[in-house]
Formats: sequence, structure tokens, C-alpha cells
Amino acid sequence: MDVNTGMKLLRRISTAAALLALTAGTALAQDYKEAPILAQEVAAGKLPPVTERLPKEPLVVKPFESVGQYGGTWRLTMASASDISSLVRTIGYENFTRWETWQPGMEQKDIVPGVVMNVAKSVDINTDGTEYTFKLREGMKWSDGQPYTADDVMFWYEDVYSNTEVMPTKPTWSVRGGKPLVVEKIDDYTVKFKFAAPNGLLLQALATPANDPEPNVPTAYPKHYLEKFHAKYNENADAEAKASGGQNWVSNFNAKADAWRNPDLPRLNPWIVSSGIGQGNGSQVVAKRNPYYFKVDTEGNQLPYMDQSTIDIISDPQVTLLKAANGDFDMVDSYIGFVTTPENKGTFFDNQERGNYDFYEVLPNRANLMIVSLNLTNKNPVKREIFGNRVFREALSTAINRDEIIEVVWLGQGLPYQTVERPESPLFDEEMATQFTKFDPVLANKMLDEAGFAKKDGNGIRLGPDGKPIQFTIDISVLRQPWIDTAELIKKYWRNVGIDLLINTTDTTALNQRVESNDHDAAVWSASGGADTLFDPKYFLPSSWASFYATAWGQWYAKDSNAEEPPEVVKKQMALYDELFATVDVGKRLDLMKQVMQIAKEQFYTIGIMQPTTDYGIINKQLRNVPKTLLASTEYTHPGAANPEQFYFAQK
Amino acid sequence: MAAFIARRVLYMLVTLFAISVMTFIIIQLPPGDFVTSMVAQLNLQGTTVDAGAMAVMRERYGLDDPMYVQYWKWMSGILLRGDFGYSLEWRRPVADLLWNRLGLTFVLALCSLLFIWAVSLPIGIYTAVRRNTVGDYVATFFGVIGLAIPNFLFALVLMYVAFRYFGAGIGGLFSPEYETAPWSLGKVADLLMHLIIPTIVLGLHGTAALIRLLRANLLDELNKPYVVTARAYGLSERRLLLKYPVRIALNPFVSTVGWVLPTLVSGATITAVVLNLPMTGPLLLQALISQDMYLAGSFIMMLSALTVIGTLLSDLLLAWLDPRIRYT
Repeated sequence: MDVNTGMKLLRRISTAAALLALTAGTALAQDYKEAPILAQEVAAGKLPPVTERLPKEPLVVKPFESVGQYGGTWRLTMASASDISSLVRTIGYENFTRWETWQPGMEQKDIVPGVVMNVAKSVDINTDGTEYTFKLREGMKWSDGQPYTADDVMFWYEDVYSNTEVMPTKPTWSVRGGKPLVVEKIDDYTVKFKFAAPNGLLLQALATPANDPEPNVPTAYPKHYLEKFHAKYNENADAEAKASGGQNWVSNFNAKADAWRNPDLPRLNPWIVSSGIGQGNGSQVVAKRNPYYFKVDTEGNQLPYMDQSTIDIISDPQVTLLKAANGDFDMVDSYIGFVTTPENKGTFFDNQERGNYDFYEVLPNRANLMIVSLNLTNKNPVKREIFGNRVFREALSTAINRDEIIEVVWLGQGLPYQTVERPESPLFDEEMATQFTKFDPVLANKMLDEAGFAKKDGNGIRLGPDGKPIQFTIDISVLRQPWIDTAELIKKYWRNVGIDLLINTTDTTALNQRVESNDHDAAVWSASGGADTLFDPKYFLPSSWASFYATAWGQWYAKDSNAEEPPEVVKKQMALYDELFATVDVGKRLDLMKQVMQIAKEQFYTIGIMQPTTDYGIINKQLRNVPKTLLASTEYTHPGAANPEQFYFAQK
Repeated sequence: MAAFIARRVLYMLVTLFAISVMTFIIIQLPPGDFVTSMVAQLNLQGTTVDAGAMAVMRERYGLDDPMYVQYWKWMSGILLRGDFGYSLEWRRPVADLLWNRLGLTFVLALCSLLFIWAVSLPIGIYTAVRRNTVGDYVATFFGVIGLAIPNFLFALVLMYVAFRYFGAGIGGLFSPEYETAPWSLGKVADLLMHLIIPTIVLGLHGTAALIRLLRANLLDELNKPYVVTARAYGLSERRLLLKYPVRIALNPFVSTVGWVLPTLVSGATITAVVLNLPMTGPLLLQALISQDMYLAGSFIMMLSALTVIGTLLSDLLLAWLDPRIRYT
């Protein structure tokens, strides 16, 4: 039986069940409607009626195209047991706020797309942005039918967030003016978040997906279920944890609060995991509809439309590719399944008919797919002097034939840009994108001569200030073949202007360790843009060790080990970035970020090779209410921001 | 005999201890630990983890302890409580993960073992007895090809053919509708259908190897005087063949039984990854990549224990089968 006939059958059964439920007279006069499989359970007395399950004021979701039909299974895939982000972004995106569904042509006033209310019904913000009063939804329930109230938020705040054993570190968004967040309960459905200094981007931070297995957000900790595992409420919690094979109560508590591995944990999500990661034979995660989900469509149908979701755990990309081309998944793109690469496009085109899928466009928030970072904080003083010479970096950038690289390595799927925001973003700067990208070896040679590297040795390699030939090593992770292929080309271009590059391919973990201890000359990585830039701007200012071009300055900013104080202009840039988070005014915020970008442009920290054009995804032809163009990034939740609860399968 | 077994068991314990120490050291040799490899993966997705959070994770997982403390924690768990430790990546007890996958791994390994024997025994005997005939050449040709093709490549080719020409579901041991369904006749049938390709792929190499071995051994035996004697006594050709030379030529089948046990658990790792089979091999590979040391370590310990036990068993079997070995 193939999946489609299965689906048809399922739908026929469910229609019959709905009719049965109607004729049995259990469906009273009510405004809200529900899925047939839930109606059955109501009829059998296993569930209260839908009006009692929904909050007093459910969130009304406007369907993207049309009101949908109930039923079907959303088939997805994830890459490994640690790939929790794939679950959060698809079936588990329920925070206080959420990103609005960004569409091309929408006017964007802020640095990032807009934010709408979600679990929280509304928010009042005081003028300086230090107090946020959230209203919750009266009558809202966890997936086991127990009420979700301010007490659950306080349980999160007092016993998870503030408990240093459970959560030893505080997330960045919650600390302002050096002090952690304070939460007060006003009444059963009102909580107030107070900060020591203005928090301009709280609603945006709350809308980002909780990708950590320990989410530490106010919507993930049901007090009535979790308190028995917490030492504060149960003095035997530690002994009980050890008796059941855990190490101590903390790890047991975190394991019980892990929505992706513990099917017993009540949640707020549209689908609730019934078989978690590593359960069964460990090859699939299954999630079933949440009968208490708090959203309805414009006609009062309780969401989600789809009955369940299955997520296959497949570690080999070739298997994912074949299964995807066979139509075994309903949605695959560069963020779900990760196999829609330029080189696989042909396979997907050839099998479109049999796989029964259409293509859609993904605007990836990838600022640059290949960034060459010369370590400006190099431990070797000679190399530091050479790399620190901006003209040297500009000349090397000019010596690279980006058009050839993009054609040969990336099959033409990119633009020859520096590290820069994407054209959709209000932060895009054409001049920043194209500076020093025009291939001109003659000019590059001239620039290097004038920058003080005119002398050459017998092999034609330029001499550094110490009189030795300029030779350095670039560390590249074996993770992505195009990086290595491109590096081979760059080696050739740079040899032509008298610079000797050595290529060292390495495992990602080893690379990160080298960089963290500031032992690298140069390294390659890629950068995200958009919302990711806002919360993790590492390629536009040295904000952490992961800023490969200035590890030690980044570590200074992050108060990490091997820190080194950066020059004034960089410190000014950091101060501007900090100010951004304390700014409530949208226009002012954008202006601050533009200043940060301006400094990045002038400093010319990195050599960008290419910005990918658009990615593509494949989608089951029967799946509806999915926009044809989707914005994606790590922090701008994809596809969660497009409201997967209102996706549905059309009958043929 | 009892003394022999006791002595062997003692050796086994020493061997296993040495293996456990080596395993633990080797797993920790590559740079970094589970936390760095997890951070590397997050960094790839664009999330940077700060140093404080990394330190907290290390402390929580006990990765800061000196290596002998970590080793003692692990070993004492296994010896005193039968607790194989906790997988850092899957966040589940290692034993759960292993048992969940062992059942199907055993089924598949058993199928391919039966397949190997069922195919290679008759062909091996045939090619030896009918040496240098067309049948021998054809069997030899395919035997050598079977030896030469790497399993995973063969798996890829079969998968492509199944995908391109039959539209068959590829990879995995169950169709999506049976994946989480309870056991039923339909599910068993579905499993058997999915077992065909893996069985052939996993069995191919072994089959080819055994055909060659059996043929060579049997050729040595066929011209020995005892065969001539038996023939002179007027034994039927079939009885003569099976009763004497084949029995001796079977030695390699038995002495390799010891290696079958560990392959039962490790599966053919790469093949299982390629075919997306819920076997134990891919789990071990992933554990090694992500430096999930307790999972990987316990795994290798189990493999080693099975190898050692298997070797003992095959020695005993061999002594039973071949009287010559008993007296040396």
C-alpha cells in the first residue's frame, strides 16, 4: 500500500467517524470543531469536548491560503540523535512570542522580521524597556489537560532558571546591566519580567527556537508533572533518581524535562512526541496531535490539521537523498534533511514525477558560504603584522577569481560577494558586498608591492618584514568538500601574486580546538545572516572565539580565556552592538546595527568568497498552506514561522 | 577438559581487562571530547556556545575528571551493577540502546549466515569435484567478483537499481506504515521483504570466500589415499564424498564460527549505514564520531567479549569435529 492510498483510506475512515459522532448526538451546538479522531475519543468519553479543551480565547491562526482538512502524517527527517533543532523548528515551536511569516515584498522596519504574540496573549512594555508584563491565556492547558498558568512560569523562573544546579548559566537575553531577570507573578494569568537595564530585543529573543535539549524557556516546564523530580518539592528526588538509574536528581530532572526523549512530559506543542529519540529501534521519532492545542483557524477548527508527524533519524545523506527523491518525505530543504544541495538538484528534477513533489524557494539566511579568515590576533608577531595590514588582505581578495570558483565549485549557484547581509535585509550594502571582489591580478600585485611586500625570493614568493618568504597555513574542515576545492583554486591565485598558501584539511573538532587556543594562521567557515547576525554577529564583529579572524578579541568580548584587548575602533563597534540590545526604538536600533556594519566594512575583517543565491526545497504536491517562498535561518525559525499547524494535505 | 576450559577462561579475563583499558584510552585519544564535538555541530548550524556553558556541560558529564576516575566509574558500573553507562548523545542508558537494536541485528546476521552456508557449501563441493569444467569456471568467476566488490558499493548499486527500476522502498527494515506498528503477520512479511537485499549484500563476501576455501581444501583431500581406499571398497561416490573429504574440508567453516559472534553485533557497519538498517554498527560509528565514550566503550567491550567467547566456542567445536586436534 503506498502512502497516498493509505492517506485516502485514513481520511475516509475519519470522515465516517465524524459522521458517526454527529449522528450519535454528542456534538452539541458549539463554535469550535475538532479532528475526527478526537471527536471519536470525545464520543467514547475519553476526552472532554473541544470547547472545554481550548482556552477562553484561543489564538486564531489565519490559514495561509485556505481552511484545511484534518488528517494525514507529516513525514520528515533528522540527521542524528543530537539534531534536536530539526524537531524544534518543525513540530515544537511554541514560545511566548513567535516570528511572523515573512513574505517577499513585506516592508521590514526592524533589523529582523516582525514578532507576533503566541503562548502569551499580550504584552505591555514600559517606556524604557525594563519591564514586560505578559498576559497568558485563561483556560489554556498542557497536553495532558492540566492548566497552564503563571504558576508554571514561576516554576520555570524559581526552580529552573534561578536554580544554579539545574541551570548553571543564564542565557544572554536574560541578563541586562549585569543582573539576571526577575519574574513576578501578578495574578494567575499575568507575569512581569523585570530587568536591571533596558532590554530592547526581548520579544525577538523569546521568538527564537529553543534548540537546546534543556530549553530553559517559560513555556517548557509543567510544574504539576516535574515538581516530583525536583529536590525542592520532593526530598527523596535524589534517591529516586539514583534508584531509577540516573546520576542525581538534576540530570534526572533534565531528562524528565526533555520533550524529545520523554513521551510522558506534557507540552504545549501542536504534536506531542509519543516515541522519542532512541526509543523503539531508534530509527524514528513519532509525534501525535495535541488534543489541548490552543489554536484554531478562522472557522473555529482546532489546529493542527495533520494528525501526526514522523521524523526518521537517518545519518547517511545518500540514504536521505534517495528516500527524498522517492517521495518518502513531505518537506525537504537545506534546513530539513539538509540534502537539497546544488549538486543534487538534477536528481530531484529527474524524479519529480514519481516522487510526487513540487519545488519551493528557500531564502537561506546565509551571508556567505565560504569565508577566509586570516587571524588578526596571530600569536606570531610577524604574521600578525602581515595579516594586520589591511591592504594585504584587500590585495589577496582582489587576486581571487570568484566567478571561476562559483562556476567550477558551486555550479553557478552564488554571487561573488564579500561577507555581507543578504539583499532582502535592510542592512544590505552593495558597496560592502562588492568591494575588492573584481578579479584583477595586476592590481593585486601592485597593491602588494605598495604595501611593503615588493621584495621576492628566488621562487617568486614575496618576503615579509622579517625577510622570510610569506607562507601560511589555512585550516579547513573536511566537512564540506567545496571548501577544500575552492582552497585549491585560491592557492593557485595567491601563488600568482607571490603568496604561498598551505592547505591543512582537518576534522571540525580539531579545527575548533586549534582556533580556540588561537593557534591558527587562517581558517575557513561560513556565516549566517539576518536574525542569526543579530544574536550572534561573529562575522561582523569579534564577539566570541568563533570569530576566526580575531579569536583573542572575541574571547575578550565574551570574557573567555586567552582574551586580548582589541583596538579602540573594535571596542567602539562592540559598544554599539551592546547599545542595540538596550534600545527599544526600532528605527534607532536599525541605525545602530548599520553603524556596526559600517565598521565591519571599513575594517575588512574577512575575505568572503560567495553568497549563495536561493536554496530550494521539495514538498509533497498534496501539502497546502505552505508559502512558495520561505525565509530560513537558525534563529528565524524555519519552517516554524510559517505555522506548520495550519499545513494540511489536500485530497486528490 | 575442565582444566583446559578453566585455563582458557582465565586468559579471557586478562585479555578483556587489557582490551577495556586500551579501548578507553584509544577512544579518548582524538582531540576534544563529547562537548567539543557537540559544540562543533552547533557551530555549523550557526549557534555559538560560550565557554561558560561548555564548562558546565563538561562538569555535568564528568569529563573534567582524570582519566582513571572516568575509567573506574565506567568499569565499576559494569562489574558491580551491570550498568554499561549512559550515552551522552542519546541521553539514554547504553544497555537500552544496545538491546533495542540487537534483536534485528541477530536476525539479519543469522539470515546472512544461513545464506552463506546454503549457497557456498554445494557450490564449493561442486567446483572441487567438477574441477576445470564450465560450471567450475562460471562459479569461480562470480566467486572472485564477489570477493572483489566492497559490500557497501554493492549495496549502493542494488539500492540504485531497486530505486530506479522497481521503485521499491529503499533502506531500513520496515515500510513506513509498519515502522512503529505492533508485530503482526504483515509486519513479519514486510521485514522479510526488506531483509532480502541486506542478506545478499552482507552474505556476498562470505559466500565467495567460503566457496574458494572449500574448493581448495577439498581438492587437497580428494587425491589422498584414504579416498582411493574408500572408493576401492566400493562406497557410493556421494557417500564417500560427504563422509570423509568434505568433513575434513569443513574445518574452516567451524574455525570461523568464532568470528561470527562479533559480526552479529557489529554488523557490517558501512553497509548498515548505507542501507539505513537499525543495526548496532551505525550506532557504534556515530558514537565514535561524536566521542560518546561510554556508548562506544561499552560497545567495543561487548564486541571483544563476544570475540573471545566465540573463539573459545570454535576451539571446542573444532576439537569435537576433528579428532586430530584433540590429541595435539
